[in-house]
Amino acid sequence: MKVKVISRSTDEFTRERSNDLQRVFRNFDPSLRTQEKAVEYVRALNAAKMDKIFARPFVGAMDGHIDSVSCMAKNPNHLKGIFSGSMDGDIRLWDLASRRTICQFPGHHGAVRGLTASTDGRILVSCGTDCTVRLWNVPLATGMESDDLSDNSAKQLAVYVWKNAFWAVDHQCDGNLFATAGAQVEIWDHNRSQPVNSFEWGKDTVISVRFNPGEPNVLATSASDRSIAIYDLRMSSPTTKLIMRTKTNSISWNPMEPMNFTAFLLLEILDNVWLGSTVLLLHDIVIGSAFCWHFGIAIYMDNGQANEDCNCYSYDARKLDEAKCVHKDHVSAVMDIDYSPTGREFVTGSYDRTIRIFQYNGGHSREVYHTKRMQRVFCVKFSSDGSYVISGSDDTNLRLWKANASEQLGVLLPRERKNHEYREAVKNRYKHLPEVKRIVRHRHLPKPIFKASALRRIMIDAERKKDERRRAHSAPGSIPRESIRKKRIIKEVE
Amino acid sequence: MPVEFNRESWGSTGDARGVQSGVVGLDWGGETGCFLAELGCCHIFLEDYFVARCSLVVTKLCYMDIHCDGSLRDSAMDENVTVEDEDQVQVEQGMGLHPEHTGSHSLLGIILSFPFSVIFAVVNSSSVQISTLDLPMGAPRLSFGMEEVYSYPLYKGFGIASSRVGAFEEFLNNASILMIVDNGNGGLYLQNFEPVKMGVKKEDGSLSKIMPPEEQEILDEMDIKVKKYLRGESANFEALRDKKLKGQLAVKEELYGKSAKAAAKVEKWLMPSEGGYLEAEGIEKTWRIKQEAIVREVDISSSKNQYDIVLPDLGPYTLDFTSSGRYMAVAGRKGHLAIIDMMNMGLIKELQIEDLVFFGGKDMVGLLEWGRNSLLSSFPSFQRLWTYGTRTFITGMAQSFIVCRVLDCGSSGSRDGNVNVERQEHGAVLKLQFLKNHFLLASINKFGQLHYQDVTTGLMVGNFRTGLGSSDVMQVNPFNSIVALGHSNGSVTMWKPTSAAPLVKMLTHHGPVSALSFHSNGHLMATAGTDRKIKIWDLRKFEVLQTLPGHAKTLDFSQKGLLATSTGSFVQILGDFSGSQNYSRYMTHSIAKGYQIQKVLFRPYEDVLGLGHSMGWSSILIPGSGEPNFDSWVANPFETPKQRREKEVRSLLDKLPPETIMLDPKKIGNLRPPTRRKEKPSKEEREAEMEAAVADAKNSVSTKRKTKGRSKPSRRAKKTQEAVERAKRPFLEQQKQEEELSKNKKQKIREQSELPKSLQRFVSKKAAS
Repeated sequence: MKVKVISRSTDEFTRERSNDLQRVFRNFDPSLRTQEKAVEYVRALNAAKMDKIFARPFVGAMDGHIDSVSCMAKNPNHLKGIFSGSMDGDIRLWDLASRRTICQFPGHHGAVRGLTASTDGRILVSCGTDCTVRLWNVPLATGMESDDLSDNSAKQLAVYVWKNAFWAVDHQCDGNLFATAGAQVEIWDHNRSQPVNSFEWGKDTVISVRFNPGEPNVLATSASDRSIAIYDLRMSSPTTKLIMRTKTNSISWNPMEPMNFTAFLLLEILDNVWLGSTVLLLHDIVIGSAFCWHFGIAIYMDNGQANEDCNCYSYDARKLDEAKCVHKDHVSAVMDIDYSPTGREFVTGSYDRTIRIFQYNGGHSREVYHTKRMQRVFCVKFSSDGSYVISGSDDTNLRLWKANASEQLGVLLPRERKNHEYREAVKNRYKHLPEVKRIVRHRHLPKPIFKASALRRIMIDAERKKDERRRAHSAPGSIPRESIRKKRIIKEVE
Repeated sequence: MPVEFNRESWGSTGDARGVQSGVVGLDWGGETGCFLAELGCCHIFLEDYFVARCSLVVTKLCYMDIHCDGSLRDSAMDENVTVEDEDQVQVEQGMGLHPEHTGSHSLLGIILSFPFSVIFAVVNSSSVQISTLDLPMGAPRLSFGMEEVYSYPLYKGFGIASSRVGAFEEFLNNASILMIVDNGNGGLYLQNFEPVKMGVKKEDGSLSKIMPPEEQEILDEMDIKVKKYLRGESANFEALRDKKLKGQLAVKEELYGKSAKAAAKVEKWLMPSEGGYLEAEGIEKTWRIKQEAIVREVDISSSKNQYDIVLPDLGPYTLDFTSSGRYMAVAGRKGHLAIIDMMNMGLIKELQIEDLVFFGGKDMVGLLEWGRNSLLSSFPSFQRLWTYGTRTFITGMAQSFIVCRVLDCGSSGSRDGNVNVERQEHGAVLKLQFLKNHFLLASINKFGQLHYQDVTTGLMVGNFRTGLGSSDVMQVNPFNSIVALGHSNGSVTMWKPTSAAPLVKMLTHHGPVSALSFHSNGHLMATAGTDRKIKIWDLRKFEVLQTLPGHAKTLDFSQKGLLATSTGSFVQILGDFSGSQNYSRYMTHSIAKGYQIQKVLFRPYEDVLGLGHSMGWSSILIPGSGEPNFDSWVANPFETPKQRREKEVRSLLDKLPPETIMLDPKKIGNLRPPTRRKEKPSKEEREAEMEAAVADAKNSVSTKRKTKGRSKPSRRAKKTQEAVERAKRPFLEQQKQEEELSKNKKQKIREQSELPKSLQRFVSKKAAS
């Protein structure tokens, strides 16, 4: 007879000294854990509820400006720093951690309309309605830590006076150039008092300009003639132009999308798409720069008409005949847009007094932020680490928000982090179940916005219904169905 | 203590040639001994790692193999083979020497692949050879069975003169990767070779995957383990039309596969304990082995688990274990309740419910391990402030059920246990069950009413009438928390708290059901009836798998699937040893004559069976019944009070809602398959059907030749006419019904579309009426 029975000695299964950790034994056999799926579902439900409980996105407000904030710029060299310009010509550098003004840049006589910092973070460029472009020395990061507020105004490096008022400015990535938008698009060098180049396509005012982060010589502009144009600095004339039904307020390039394409794939696509400029662009591929451009465009129309468009449109710059994605949810004009450095989401600020965060490919917003005191939002920025959102609004305040509303701030213990990850995973796994979905999706909206969105829905429905009726009573095929992604585009000009 | 080898001590002859150059590579040969390879020569140690029992010095050695039986063979064509201890090591020279290895190339290292020890690699200064030895371990063979040699020339930067392969080690888990460390230029090289390719080359040139039997076994075993962790097969993605979703699901499925594989692999380290077993030798039979014989064989701590407690005064005893098997609660019919710590066999609490002696304890559900705060709300008569760290159990009485609180002996053993009588709603309870994931208390009373009460809120979740009379056979299926009841008409019904009708109603026995038990995997159910049959059911198909003769008053499945049955004073354990769910006799045991066994229950995570009987309780050893490896996060027998407190809170957070109880608990989170609408047959189809029926009817009319005028043509015509009409009737009736229905519908629509209310007053009453 051979016999063995289970025999456990207490010494083997318990800790030796009271300072030791408790011993843990694992057996992953599924039959020991009954009703795993039900347990996971309950945990997912609890995780969704907990996310709602801990959703406190508002971190703090930064007041100091005496007029509404018109523009902001990130400091690429310093995570905590952010520049803001206001309608009274005041420019300030803020420390986000202490939420105080570090330094002021006095000089502008009218509204500051554009702010940008050079890639190394040493020079700040501002422009405004007083027809000047001003270059400023940014105080070093070490200086920002000091608390003395006695000498907190910086001296300007240069003032370039020009013929027309400016609407926007953007600095080139890894270069000495910056572009301003006004009556024309002008390209400036740091050291020259006159623009080195200027572009014009149509007579209307250009209202926003943005350089491509991946390809330093390419920039996109939007003008008040409802057009979006793409320029290449190496060519004498603009590349492409897209005319839409409504005016575009702001443009932002996705900083990460270029990386997603491999070179050989690009070659294929480019041969088909870029007709006139293939040779030039092929050269770029050879030198190894990755460039595929996606950019989000915020569009609005000035007056509050029924056809006002409150959507954002994502485009593939190589394929402008239709939008890649239409992001809907705002109920009034979108004023500014900024991509997260991860490129997976972007933030928009709107005239309807809310900030929304969208997935780069999501049709509806993931998050909406609002407070009672926040007025119309004129500018928004994602922080350089992608975990905060900064907004500047009509009520002269800058506000700091968490990008992820229920995120826990501060240093996390490893087991806390693991717990968060687990909760996120189960929530993601059961997100399609009605109860979890309902809790995750629910957002409280202020009454006016709630009502406006309901009204908007009614209007869109009515329009759709009318279209359908018209189609039903016309000859088949005479009124073609138009995709919403193409609807707002009038034409594309090469 | 580090062991140092003296160079001189290696060779008994003191041959300095053997140790002229530095140590190049070292590898444990596992069971086969130890390899030590040097530049230009090779030392091999056998059997003992620290005492060089025999040492072999070979110059220009190319490769060698050591067998389990202790014989050593090499293939070096050299005279300088010196062998110590010649009685242990036999050397055969010149067998199967491979010409590539000789010559100027000197050996740099030799290594055995860890899981697949028939594959080994030889590195010399110009190439790496990976070779197979087609030799099953332990089977001595005279010649080398080298089938294939794969040569990998080293990289160019790997100068023969300037650099050398210093050491090479293998990844522990992945036998197909060989890592080569190059001392000369500091490089590290990974060379991948497929063990699959090491097969025998067939005549047609294709490589067939032939594995030595033991490796095949390892792989098969791994497959079985992986299958266990995969939790069923993946869905068929081919049917999906959504490409994006298909891609996402495929990625997820791959991830599941990987994690299952990883879990199967780490089993070796995570689950070190092996289960118990009882094997008969010779003409012995396992069911003839007595408990006394087993106790003599096992260790002292295990032998303590075999005992009898005789308490003749306080009536038949029933018992229950906590889910970790650490604590046991026993209850006598005359109101005696006790909690025992099974680790040190200490009595934690004992109390006598004197007031209620009159009623008599009928049943008891285990030690409910949850916090007192939750109980407070459900049973408001508790006024005292309660602390964590106590245990509670619930006893069924003839009139009601009671909740007992027993304090931990460690914290405050002197306090009395509280007794609370909950008289309302449940009625005269016959049997209680506790669903621990849902915190539901299920009870069946004398009138055959099934009650579900949420013990955290005190709410009555469900109250159903079974309508099949009183029953005291109730068991929860641990797999899906469905409550099964055995009735006196021989049927078994299965219930969940959210439906008033039973989910399953099955006729199991001709005569009352006497006992019921579920396997922990949820696929098997055992029932016993008074018709002297024990049946084992497959719950996936609701079919009988096996019918065994015999009577059983109580049944219980162990964690490893043994089935204990008992009647009178006799216990029988059945086991499924063929793996085909065919239960056969495994062990038997009988307690003192005249004792009536009330309850058998396996202790979780132990090889112990508890018996509650009319004269007390006893415990016997059943090797192979318990799960040997526990999970600290599921049920920990060595739990500290602090850990228990944390677990209580966590389990309350994970309390499942009653809606999650369903026959297939894996359904949660799945998509409902699209329900196809029942299509109405079209008019043509219906007519065709009718015509076919008419034709059938015409043919079926028998045309017997009768003389007395019965088969007159007119009669026959009439008969056929009648048959045709009979065949047509159902179709016509259906048509008529449908017409009526549609008429009703039309009428309704017309009624609805009558004039709006504001205009109705203008209609003349005559017209309206």
